[in-house]
Amino acid sequence: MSENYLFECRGLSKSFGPTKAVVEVDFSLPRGEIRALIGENGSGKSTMCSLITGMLKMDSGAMTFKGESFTPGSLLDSQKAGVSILLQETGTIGALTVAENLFLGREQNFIRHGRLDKKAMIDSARAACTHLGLDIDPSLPAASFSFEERKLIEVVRAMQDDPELLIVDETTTALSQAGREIIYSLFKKLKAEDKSAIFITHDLGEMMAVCDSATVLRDGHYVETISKEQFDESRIRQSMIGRQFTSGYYRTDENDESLRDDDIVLDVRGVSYGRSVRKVSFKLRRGEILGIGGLTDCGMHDLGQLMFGALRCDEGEVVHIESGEAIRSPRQAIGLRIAYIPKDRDQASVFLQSEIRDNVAVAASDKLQKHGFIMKRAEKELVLRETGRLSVKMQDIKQLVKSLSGGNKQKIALSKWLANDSEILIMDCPTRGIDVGIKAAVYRLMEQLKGEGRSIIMISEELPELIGMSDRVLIMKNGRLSAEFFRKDGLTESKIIETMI
Amino acid sequence: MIKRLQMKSWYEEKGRRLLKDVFPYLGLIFVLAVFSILTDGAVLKARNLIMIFKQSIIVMVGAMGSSFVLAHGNMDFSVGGSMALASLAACTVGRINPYLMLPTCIICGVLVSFLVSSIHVSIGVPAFLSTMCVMFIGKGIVQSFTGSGISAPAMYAAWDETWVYAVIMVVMLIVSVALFNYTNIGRFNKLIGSNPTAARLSGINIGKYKTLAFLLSGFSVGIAAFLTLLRSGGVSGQTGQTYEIDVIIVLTLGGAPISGGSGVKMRSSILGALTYYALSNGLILYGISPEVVFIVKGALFLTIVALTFDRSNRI
Repeated sequence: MSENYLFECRGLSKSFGPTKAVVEVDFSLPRGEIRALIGENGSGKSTMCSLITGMLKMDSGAMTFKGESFTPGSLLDSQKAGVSILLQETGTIGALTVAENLFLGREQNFIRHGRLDKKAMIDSARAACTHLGLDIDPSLPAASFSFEERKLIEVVRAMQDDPELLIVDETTTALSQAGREIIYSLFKKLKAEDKSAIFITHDLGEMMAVCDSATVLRDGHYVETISKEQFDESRIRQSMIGRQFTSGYYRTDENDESLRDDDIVLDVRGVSYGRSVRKVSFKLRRGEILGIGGLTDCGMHDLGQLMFGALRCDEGEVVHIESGEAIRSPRQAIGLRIAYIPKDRDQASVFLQSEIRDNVAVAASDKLQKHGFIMKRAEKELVLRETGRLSVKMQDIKQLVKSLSGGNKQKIALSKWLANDSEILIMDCPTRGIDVGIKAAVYRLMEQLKGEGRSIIMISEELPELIGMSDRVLIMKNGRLSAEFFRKDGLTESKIIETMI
Repeated sequence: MIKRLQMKSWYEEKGRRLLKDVFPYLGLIFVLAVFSILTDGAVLKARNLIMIFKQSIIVMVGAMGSSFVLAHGNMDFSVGGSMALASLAACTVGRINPYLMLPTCIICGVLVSFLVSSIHVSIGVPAFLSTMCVMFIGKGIVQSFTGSGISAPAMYAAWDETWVYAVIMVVMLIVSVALFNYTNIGRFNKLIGSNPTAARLSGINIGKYKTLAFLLSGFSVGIAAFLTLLRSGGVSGQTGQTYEIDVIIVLTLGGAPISGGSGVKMRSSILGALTYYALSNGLILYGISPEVVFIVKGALFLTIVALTFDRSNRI
């Protein structure tokens, strides 16, 4: 094995029971390189990272790190050797201060005369945060910070060990542009110090901008490593799913002439909520895909819940035009055939411990009843039809949703609303954390629904999909609408980003 | 190759589900088999089996109602206190008119559960607390008012027949299964137990369906109280003494997940109750003292929960 590689592995394999997660993967990472690890959900990216960091033990194969054989038995082992990982989930402990979180397990460095020198700890914590461009008060408990800030506190913690290899596992999905910038600048710093990073992301635009090369995995197998010069979105996608897209990824039409300004389905009138949404007004047209974008904490996620009645407006109202009713509760909204797909799929959208059948039929249960009893046959037909329409990969409708892959769970969440014949669909980050194949399926579904005259509000943190799918894009900033863009005028990223920050 | 892998995991998933389904049956068969060997077949004698059956039905009926509450993720600790109160009320009313005894039991059970669920749903007190308080209040009232015991009207002595128990059990089972599997009451409670946030965002009226679950639990406790009166001939300080614990152990023994959700099945009540009483009965026939039987029950409960508790959501 060559000396100039920081990390190398040969024939790396790992199985979970009958499932082969990683199969005979060869992978070598030179010093000073930022390498992307990409592939569809379940292609083995996260498993590979777990093997490298010692969280899982490999079945067979060999790894070398800094030219020496490397067999970490635990996360701590790999940390000591110089490998740090930023995980998609996990987090900071809310009740502890930022400083305590940062130096968890390293308190002995701050012991003076048998006592913990809190001031010294807080000072070092402040220095560490500032060093990475994070301006927060480390003496406050972690719980007082936003999700994004807590994620960045983890970044600071990971950098405490001064790692030579940093692994970032989809952390940026949870971050806004500003937070992402911090990670990107971290990559630059590592590169300048001749250190390396492995970056897992579903966002190909981001990947191509920050990585030097990309290794593609498919079904646990190594496919290829693409260098920066050969980066091309469609080529990478093709490599990831192993087949060609027959049609475009996003919508291909330039403009939808059939939308009429006098055919309104939902009217948002001066809605305010706490400090997150301030006097927002807009109208949703029939058959329109309306994109709403902005930074994570701009208020767009709360706005989605307000339109569905899951949150109550402090001021203003959301009016369903056909019925003339103002929306006050999810139950009422569902009755008016409005659907809401929450951002957090597992926590708020699907019932993991329940059967596919119940998950899909729940919103439509009123029409599946006769004299108070559920009509089992009609229900089965409905569930099979809706899951079939989205080609959900499942054994039967009695399978528990928790055993499905992430993308298929999202399809179940969508099926629930299709089963209720929803006319207005509010989707909050509908493609968050799902792979390109299923993303494309969601986009096709949106086009199809639009074609049937249904209206969609897509709230998203990903500009490419807002641009690619929307008839109109609204941008929010600090709780207010800051800009409006129309598809017919041509949507570009640079124009939109300016209005976000 | 991928196809084959998928097939294999398909069989594995099917196998796991099947195992979960047959486990409670195996438990019952295992208990009966072990004790019929240990007691030289005494457990399997017809008279003994009928006794096990009659004993278990009282808890079985209560467990059927409690299944609705367990489905949405709560435990109803009020059933013992509620049973004691219902028995007391029924015996008191029974002196005026013996035929009012069954309706009094049911009304009393439903009223208590309505109180408990209102405290939980409207004021937001955790259900295990509100039900536990009612358990103490109920048992306290009954112990202070019954003294040496109040007997039920004499006419009911003739009703202490196996077929009466069997008829009541079958009717309760049919009604429970219908409500649990074929109406929104059962389905929505299971979904609430599975994910309350998603339930709210799917338009389920959580307060309403939780309340309905408690009312059903109260109804079945009323029926169970009536059966207790048939069996014991009256109410005493001992009435409903460990009933709430018995119900929970029975449900767990029958394979119901203590965390609620779609894993709760009606058959758990029946299988669990039969297994539980076959076990108690077998232990006593084998000559183990009743005090030790308690220890065995406790250990058994702990073992089952440890084996079956869903750890996927543990931090």
